[in-house]
Amino acid sequence: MIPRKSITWRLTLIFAALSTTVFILVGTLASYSVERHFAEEDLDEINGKLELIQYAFDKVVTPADIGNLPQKLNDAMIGHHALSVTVYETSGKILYTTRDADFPTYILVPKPAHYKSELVILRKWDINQHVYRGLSVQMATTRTNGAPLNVAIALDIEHHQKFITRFKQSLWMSLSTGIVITVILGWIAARKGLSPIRDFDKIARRVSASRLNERIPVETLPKELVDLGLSFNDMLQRLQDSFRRLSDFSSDIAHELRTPVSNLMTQSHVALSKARTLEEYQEILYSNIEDYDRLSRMIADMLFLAKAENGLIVPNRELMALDKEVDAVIEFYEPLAEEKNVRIVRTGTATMMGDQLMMRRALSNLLSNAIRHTSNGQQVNIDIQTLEPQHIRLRIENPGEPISKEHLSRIFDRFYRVDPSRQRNTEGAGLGLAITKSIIESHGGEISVSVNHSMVRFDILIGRA
Amino acid sequence: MKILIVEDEPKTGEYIRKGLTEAGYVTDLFRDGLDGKHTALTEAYDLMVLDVMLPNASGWEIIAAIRQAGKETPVLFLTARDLVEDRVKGLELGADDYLVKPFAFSELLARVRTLLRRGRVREPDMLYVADLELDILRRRVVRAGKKIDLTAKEFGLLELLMRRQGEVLPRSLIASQVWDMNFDSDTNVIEVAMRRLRSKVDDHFEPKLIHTVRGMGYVLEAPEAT
Repeated sequence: MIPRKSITWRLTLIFAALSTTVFILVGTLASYSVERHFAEEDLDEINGKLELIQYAFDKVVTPADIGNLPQKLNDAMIGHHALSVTVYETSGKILYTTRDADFPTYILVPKPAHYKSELVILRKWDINQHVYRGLSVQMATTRTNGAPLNVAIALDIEHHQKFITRFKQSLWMSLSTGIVITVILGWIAARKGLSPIRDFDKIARRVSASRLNERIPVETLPKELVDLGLSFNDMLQRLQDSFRRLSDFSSDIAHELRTPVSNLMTQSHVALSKARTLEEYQEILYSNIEDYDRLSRMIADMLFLAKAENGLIVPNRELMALDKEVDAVIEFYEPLAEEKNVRIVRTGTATMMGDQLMMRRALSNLLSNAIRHTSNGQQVNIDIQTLEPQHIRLRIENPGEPISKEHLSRIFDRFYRVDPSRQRNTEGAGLGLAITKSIIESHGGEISVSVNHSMVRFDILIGRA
Repeated sequence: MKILIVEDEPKTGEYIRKGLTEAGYVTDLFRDGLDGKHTALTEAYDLMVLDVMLPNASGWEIIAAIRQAGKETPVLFLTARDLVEDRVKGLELGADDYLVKPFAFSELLARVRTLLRRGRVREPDMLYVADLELDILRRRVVRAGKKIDLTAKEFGLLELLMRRQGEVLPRSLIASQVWDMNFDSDTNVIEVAMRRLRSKVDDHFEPKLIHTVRGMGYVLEAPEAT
């Protein structure tokens, strides 16, 4: 298993990585600038000396002047202990050198005279535990033969180096401290920034079946969490709705069962309260059977709906001609329709993949409903249309009394009856349309109802496969 | 005809036994799964009515054991659970029918009769009840020498009633056999259809042959000779 990563730690790590990078960059830049600053200073000093040397060279004309040169240079170098200078002919013959002057041979290869004494040609080296910075150049003379002289010049920069080392030490020390501090601050900031999530969690923990009315206060959430908060609240709303439906359903069941059970009890008690004739007892038993029958149907229907709700109703799909199924159902209702003098007309054809038994049941409930609400001499129309290649619309229309909007929206609810006074005996338990809806939905379709011009119209939209 | 009943719920078991005995069958009732299994394996029955949930050995175990022993006795399952998996499992194990509680006794009786009749007698081409004749091949119905015109479904309905004369047929069985509506449908339809059939077959004749048994269904029979 991959260990769970905390967002706080993730943010802290990112913060630490960023601050470390920035600090290292700053530190590197700072030490580079310090070094460069010292190098520039050294160069200035060296150039100053070179000017003095040049001045001495300008006085050299005759070979005798060469002999006087060391004296002149000594005068020029007075008071500069840290300075080493060697003057030599291009042949390598040394004309003058200060005490302790000791140059590595690669320094003694002079840059030609046209090289300016700049940072680029300044070199750094160490000899005998001393660090030097210096260069060598050719310098023009006023000698008769016009030959230039080479000058190697170096500064002992030991004291600079000590300073730079100390500077770097304290620089990196403070940078590391800085990194540690920013990591800690980052952690605190991340925790602080994530506190709305913990508040979220607190509310989520409070939600329970009896407290589904809890909501996240979206107004106080930071912008990033608003969407999450909204969907969380939506989820709670949906839960609350289905929970309410469930408890409504339970109380409906209790109510619907109470009536027949109380009938049965009263009847049996009254029957037993005195001696009766055989016919009377039979009559009571027959009447009981009717109530039992209604109870057992209701239980079977409610189980079907409960299973449908839990996704346990899986249609056993096979290819079927929808028009043939409609015709079979019409044929079943034919006697009833003829009795009521109602005509049933089917138009259109379509084939689909569906569960024959379930589709018949759905159609049967709709047709039974339509015939029941159609008055004598009128007509029920069933029309099948293939809308797009993959969709079928089945429409059942019957003329009937207009149904108000509030009834229409609840017509597929369990136990819902448009006319509450309508007797249960004739209409069943009011589960037919709910069952139809769940069958259509288990097939991935949808059913809707509308009324216009006193025509009640049920539309089923269903996929062919 | 001997029927084995294994049902652990005392009231249910007792009433099934009483009903089947009164319908003319010899019955044995067991409440324990193991007893039932043992008897099913050692004795000969024409039909077994088994509950699924039983103490000590389930209905599934009993049917598996008897099918393994090579017995082809028809088995009808009773169950309080109506799950598709249960149905499938029962059918896979070789069950012949499946009834979900609560059920009407008339429904059970009708199914028991169907299972017992299955594959035993060749169905006749002509059916007679009193002075009513039904010719299956020529689709003709004659009563007291007069031809009666019936629609296709009315003919099917009458044929069913005559084939099973003397049996009370529940409405759900009629809807399933005649119209192929295998679910609890609007029972008014059967009543209307039956009324129309009666108006053609019974109204102008004596004695009346089609009878309503309140709360249970319909039966076609000739009045017993007195």
